Amino acid sequence: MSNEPQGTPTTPSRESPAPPLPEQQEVRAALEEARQNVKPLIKKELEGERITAEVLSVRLGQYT
Amino acid sequence: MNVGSPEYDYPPHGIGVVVFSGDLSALYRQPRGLIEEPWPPVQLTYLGKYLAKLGCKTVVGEKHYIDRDYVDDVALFYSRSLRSYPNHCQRLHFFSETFDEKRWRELVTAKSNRHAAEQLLQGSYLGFSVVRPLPGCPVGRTVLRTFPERTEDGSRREFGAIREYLVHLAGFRLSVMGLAFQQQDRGVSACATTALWSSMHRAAHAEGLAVPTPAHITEAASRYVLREGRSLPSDGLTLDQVCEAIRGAGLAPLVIRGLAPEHARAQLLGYTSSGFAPVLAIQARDSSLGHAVCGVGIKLGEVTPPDDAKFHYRDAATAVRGIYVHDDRLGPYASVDLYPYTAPQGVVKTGLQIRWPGEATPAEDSLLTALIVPVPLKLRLTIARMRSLGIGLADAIGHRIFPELDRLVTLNCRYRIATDYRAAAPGFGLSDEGLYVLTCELVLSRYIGVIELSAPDGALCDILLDATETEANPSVLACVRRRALPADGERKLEALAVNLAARCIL
Repeated sequence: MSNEPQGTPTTPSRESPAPPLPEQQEVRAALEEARQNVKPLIKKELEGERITAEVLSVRLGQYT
Repeated sequence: MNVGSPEYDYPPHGIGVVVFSGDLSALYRQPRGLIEEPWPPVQLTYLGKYLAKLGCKTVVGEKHYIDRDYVDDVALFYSRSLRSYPNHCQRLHFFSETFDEKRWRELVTAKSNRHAAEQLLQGSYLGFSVVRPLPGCPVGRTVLRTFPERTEDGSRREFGAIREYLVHLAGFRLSVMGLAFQQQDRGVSACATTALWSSMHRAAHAEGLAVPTPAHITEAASRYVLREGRSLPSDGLTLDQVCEAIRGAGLAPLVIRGLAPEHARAQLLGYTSSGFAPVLAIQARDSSLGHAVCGVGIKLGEVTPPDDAKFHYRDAATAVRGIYVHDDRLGPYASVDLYPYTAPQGVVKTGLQIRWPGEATPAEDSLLTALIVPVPLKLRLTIARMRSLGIGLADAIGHRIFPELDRLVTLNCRYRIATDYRAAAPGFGLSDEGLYVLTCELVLSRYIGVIELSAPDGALCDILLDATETEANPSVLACVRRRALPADGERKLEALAVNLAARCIL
C-alpha cells in the first residue's frame, strides 16, 4: 500500500505526454477494431514460421 | 617408348558463328556409351525451345572458356577421376540478329567504328551458355534474357530476382539481365545445390559477397551435417544442409513452411519482388521424394476483392497467378502454376504445376514443402511479420479511416534498399519539407520493410519499418505520404503516425 494521501490532486508533470487528439483517438479505435477483426488471418500468417525437425530433414535431390 | 614428355600445349581457341536452327543439341557432341539417359538431355531441348521463343537467330561459340564454377568442380571432384577431364569449357552466345562468319569478322575488325559494332551486338544479345565437357550434363552456367513483361494471356511477368551479368566476347563488353542457371552434374551438385547456387547468385552479389560455386556449396552443406552416406558424388541435400550452406556463404537462411496457396503467394511475392530468389523445396504429389527449384519471377494478374465481406482491404498477393523457376531438370524461367491441393487429411496445401515454354500441358505436379530464402544477416523482419502489421492497418484504413476506400485499399509488403527508396522519393508528391526530412533527416536501415497501401488511383502511403528488428510493431520508422492520399488524408496520416510512434512525412 502506498503511504501517499488518498485523493490528492496530481498536477501534470512537464514530461507527461499531451492527451491524444480526437483524430488520434479515432484512429486508435479503428486500429484496435481491425486488430480484432484480422486476428485469425495473422495467426495463419505466422504459422509458416514454425519449423519442425521433420521439415528440416526433408531430402532434396531424390527425384529427377 | 617415349617417357617424360607430358603435354604442355595450350588448348586451341577460336570463335565460330553458326545459324541457330532451333535445335541446340545439334551443336553438342553426343557422348559415347551413354545408354541409360536419353540424348539430347531435356535441358538442351528446353533451351532450344526457349531460345527460339526469344527469337534467337545466330550462335557465336568460343572454343576455350574458363568457367569459375566448373574449375572448382574439377578441383574438388573431377581432377581425381581416372578420365582426363579438361579444366576448360566452351561458351555459346546467342543473338537475335542474323549475321554470318564474314559479318562477324567485319564487326571484330572494325577499328574506327568499334562502339557501333558493340551496340549492334548488345542490342540483339540474348545471353550465353557454358558447355561443360561432362558426358550427359553439358549445360553449365547459363544466363539468358527473360521473356517480355506481357504474357500472351494478358498477365504481367515480374522478374524481381534477376541481375546484370557482364560478358566479354572478342574484346566486346556485353551485358545481359537474368539469373544463372545450370544442369546438375550429379558429381558435385544435385538439384538442391544448383537451386541454391542460382539463388545466391542474386543475394550474395547484392551484398558484395563472393558468389559460392556449386563445389563450395556442397562442401559447406556437408561440413557439419552429414546424415547419410558420402558428400561426393552428391545425392542431394537436406533442408538443414541447405541452411548450413547459406550460413557458410555469409547469409542467413530464412525457412518458411509450405502452407495453403494464399500464404505461399504472399511469401513468394514479398521475397521475389524484393530481389530475393527463394529456393522452393517441393515433393512429388504421389511420393515423399524431394526436389528443389529456384524462384526467379512472378506472374501477375489482377488483384481481387476479399472473399469474406468482413474484411475491408485487398491483398496484392491475390494477383499472383504463378511463378517462374529455374528447374535444373528442365531449364531456366520455367512457368509454374499454383493451385490449392487438399491432402487426404483435409489439409490444404500449395500444389505446383511446372510447364514447358508455350505448352499447355504441365510437365509435372508437385507440392510445396518449404521456402528457403538466403537473406542478409541483418535482415530480421520477415515478410510474414510485416504483413501481420500491414493487414491490420489496411483493414482499419479501408473500414474506418478512409471509408470511401472500403474494399478498394490494397496491401503490399516488400523490402527496399533505403538508398533506392530515397532516390525514388522526389516522385512521391511530398512537400519540400517532407522530401528534405525523408532524404536528409530520417535514419533508415540498409534494407527497410515497406508496407505499401494503395488505392485504384495510385499509392496512398508507405509505412517504413526497421528491417533489423524482429517485430514489425514497434519498429515503424515513418509514415510517408504518397501522391494519391486524399486531400483530408494528411491529418489522418499524422494521427496514424502518432499511434505507431513513428515520424509522419508529408
